Amino acid sequence: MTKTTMTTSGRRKFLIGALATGAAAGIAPQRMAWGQSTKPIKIGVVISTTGGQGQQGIDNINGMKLYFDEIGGKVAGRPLQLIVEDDENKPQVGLQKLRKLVESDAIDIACGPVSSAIANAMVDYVKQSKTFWIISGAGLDALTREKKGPLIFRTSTSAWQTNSPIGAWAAKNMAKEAVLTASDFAGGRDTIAEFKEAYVGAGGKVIKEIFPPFNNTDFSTYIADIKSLKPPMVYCFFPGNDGLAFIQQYDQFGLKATIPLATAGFTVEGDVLEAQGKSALGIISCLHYATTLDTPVNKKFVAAYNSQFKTLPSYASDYGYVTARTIVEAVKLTNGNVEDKDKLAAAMKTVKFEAPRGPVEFDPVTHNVIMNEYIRRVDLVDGKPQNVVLETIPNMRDPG
Amino acid sequence: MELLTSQLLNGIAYGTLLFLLAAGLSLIFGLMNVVSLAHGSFFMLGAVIGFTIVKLTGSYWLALLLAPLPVVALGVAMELLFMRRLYARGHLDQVLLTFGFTFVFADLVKWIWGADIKSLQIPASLQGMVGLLGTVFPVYRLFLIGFGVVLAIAMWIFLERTRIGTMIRAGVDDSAMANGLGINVSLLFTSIFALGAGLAAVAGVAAGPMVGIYAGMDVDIMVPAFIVIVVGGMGSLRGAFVGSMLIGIVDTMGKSLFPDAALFLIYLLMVVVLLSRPQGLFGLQRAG
Repeated sequence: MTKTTMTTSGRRKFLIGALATGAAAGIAPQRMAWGQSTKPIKIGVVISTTGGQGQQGIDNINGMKLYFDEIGGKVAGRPLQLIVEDDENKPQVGLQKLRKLVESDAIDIACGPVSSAIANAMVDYVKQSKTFWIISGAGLDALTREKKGPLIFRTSTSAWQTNSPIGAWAAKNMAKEAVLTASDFAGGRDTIAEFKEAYVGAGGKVIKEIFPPFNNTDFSTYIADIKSLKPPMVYCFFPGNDGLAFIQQYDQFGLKATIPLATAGFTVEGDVLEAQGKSALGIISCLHYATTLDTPVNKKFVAAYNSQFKTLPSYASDYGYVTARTIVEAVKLTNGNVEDKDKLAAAMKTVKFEAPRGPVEFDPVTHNVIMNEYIRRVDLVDGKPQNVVLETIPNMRDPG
Repeated sequence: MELLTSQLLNGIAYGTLLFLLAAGLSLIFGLMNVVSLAHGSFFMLGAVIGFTIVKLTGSYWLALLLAPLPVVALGVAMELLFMRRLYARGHLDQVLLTFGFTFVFADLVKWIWGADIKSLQIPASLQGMVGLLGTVFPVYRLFLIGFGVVLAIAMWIFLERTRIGTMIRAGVDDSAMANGLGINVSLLFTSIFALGAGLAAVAGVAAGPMVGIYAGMDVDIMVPAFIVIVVGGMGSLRGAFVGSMLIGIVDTMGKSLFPDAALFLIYLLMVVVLLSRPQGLFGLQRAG
C-alpha cells in the first residue's frame, strides 16, 4: 500500500534536494536574449510530508513534479529546481524551514503548506522578507483577505470557496433542517460557520452543532446523539483519520441509509476515501476537483499521474500540478525573469489556463484562485469508490 | 432511555478495546515492574499486519488469528535482547528504551506500509445492526464486547486456575521470593512480555474496522490505556477490566452529556483515584 516513493524516505529530516528533473540542467541553452539568466529557478516548498497531513503533502509534491517533468524541467531557458522541506505539521518548524529556504538556499519562489496553522505562522515572515509565496494548500480565508500581500498568491482554495456553495445547494436540494458536525479545531469551526451562513441564507435551519475533539477515533457517542435528533440531513467535516472513523461508523450504525450525509469534499478524498470504501458510497460533497472529471486535461492528468505514481491523483495532486503550471506560465510571461518580484506578480494576475480541475485564473485584488466548484457524490466507478460530479458551480471567487 | 442504553453499550465497546491493551500493560508492569511505552506500537503492528493478511487472504478471521504471532515473536526478541539488560536499572532507562522503540516501530510501519490511512473491512457475517435492549446496535461492536469478555475469562482462568498462572501471580507478589522457590522468573518475564504484545496486536486487529489504521494510532491509544491502569491498579487483571469499563463508560457518557468537559472527565477520574487510592482500585500495595 505504499502509495508513493516518498513515504519510504526518512521521517524527520526529510529533505529532497531533489531536482524536478533538472539533472541535465547544467547545460545552458544556446539561443538566449541578452541579459537573460540561465541560473536555475529555485522553488522552495514548505509542506507536511510526515504526520497527519503527510499524504496530502506528498500528493502535492508529486503533482508539481509531474508538471515539471512534462515540460522537461525548464522554462524560458532556466532549469527548475525543487527544494522540499518537511514542516512536520508544526507551525514553528514550518517557519524555521521557510527561513532556511529563504536565507540559506536563496529560493526565488516559496510554495506550501498544507496546514492553515503553519501558513498563519509563515505569513509575517513572508511579508518582511519580501518572499514571493504561492500558497498551494492552506485554506485559511485570512491569507487572501485581511492578511493578503502584493507577493502572495493562492492556487489551492479559500475555505469559504469550498464551504459556501454546498450550503445553498444542500438547502435547495437535500433538506431544510440539518445537524452540523466537525472536528473541534479552527478549520472545523470555520467550515461549519461558512456552511451554516449559506445554508441559513437559503432558508435552511440548523438543529444542532456538534464538535467532537480533533483526533477522535470513536464517534459512537456523537452518532447516537445524531440518531436521537432524527435530522433530515447531516453536514460534516472531519480531516484525515477522523474522517475515516466518522464515515465508517456513521454507516456501521445504520445512519447512512436513513439520514443523508453531506460533507466538505476533503473528508472523502484520496487515501481516506479508499479506506472508507463502501461506507462512503452516496455521500454528497463539494470540492473544486474530482478524479472523474470528464475533461481532456483531467483525463490526461489522471493517466499520467497514475502511470508515474501508481495511484490515482487527489485534489492535493491537482494543487501541486496547478501550482507548478502557474509558476511556469508566469515565468514565461516575464521571459525568465523571477528576480523582479513585482513584475512576476503582475504576470501572475494575467495567468489563465485549463487545469485538471477546470479553468483557473487569479483575482487581481485578492490574488486568490478563481475556479469551478463541483457538487459530487461518491459512486462506484470501475469497482472503486470515486466522486462523480452532479453539478458544476462555475467561477467561484472569494469575496475577499 | 434508548439514547442512554446505546451510549452505555458504546462505552462498554470502547472499554473492551482498552481492556485488551491495558491487561497486557498492567501484567507487564505488575510482574516485571517495567513501564513499556512500546505497547502502543504492538497495537499498531497488529493492525497493519492484520491489514496485509486481509488483503492477501480476504479473511478477517485469519488476520485476528495470525497477526498476533509475528508480534509475539517480536515481543520475545525485544525482551531477550533489550529489556533484559535494563531490569537492574531504574524506570527512567526502561521508559527511554521503550520510547525509542516507539519511534523505530513507527518508522518501520511507515516504511513498509506507507503513511496513508487504511481500514479493515468488517467481515460479512458481522455487518449490519441488531436489536438489543430497546435499541439497535452494530453487530461488530457487539462481537467486540463478547470477544473481550471471552478473552477476559480465559485470562482469568489462566491466571487463577493454572500452574503457570500461579507462578505469575507469585512473581507479581514477590519476584525475589518466587525465584528463590525455584520458579524460572526470567522465563516468566519473557512469556508475559510476549503475551502482552500479542494481546495488544489482537486489539489492533479488533480496532481496525472501528477506528481505522493510521500513523499515530500507537500514541493515541496509549494515553487512555495508561489512565486505565492508573485507575484500575497495576498488576491486576480485575483492575484492568474494571478500569477499562469505567474509563470507557465515563468517556462516552461524558462526551454525550457534558460535551464541553468531555476530554477532561477521564483525567478528573484519574486524579480522584490517585488522591484517594494511589495504588488504584485493585492495585497491589508494593512493599518498598
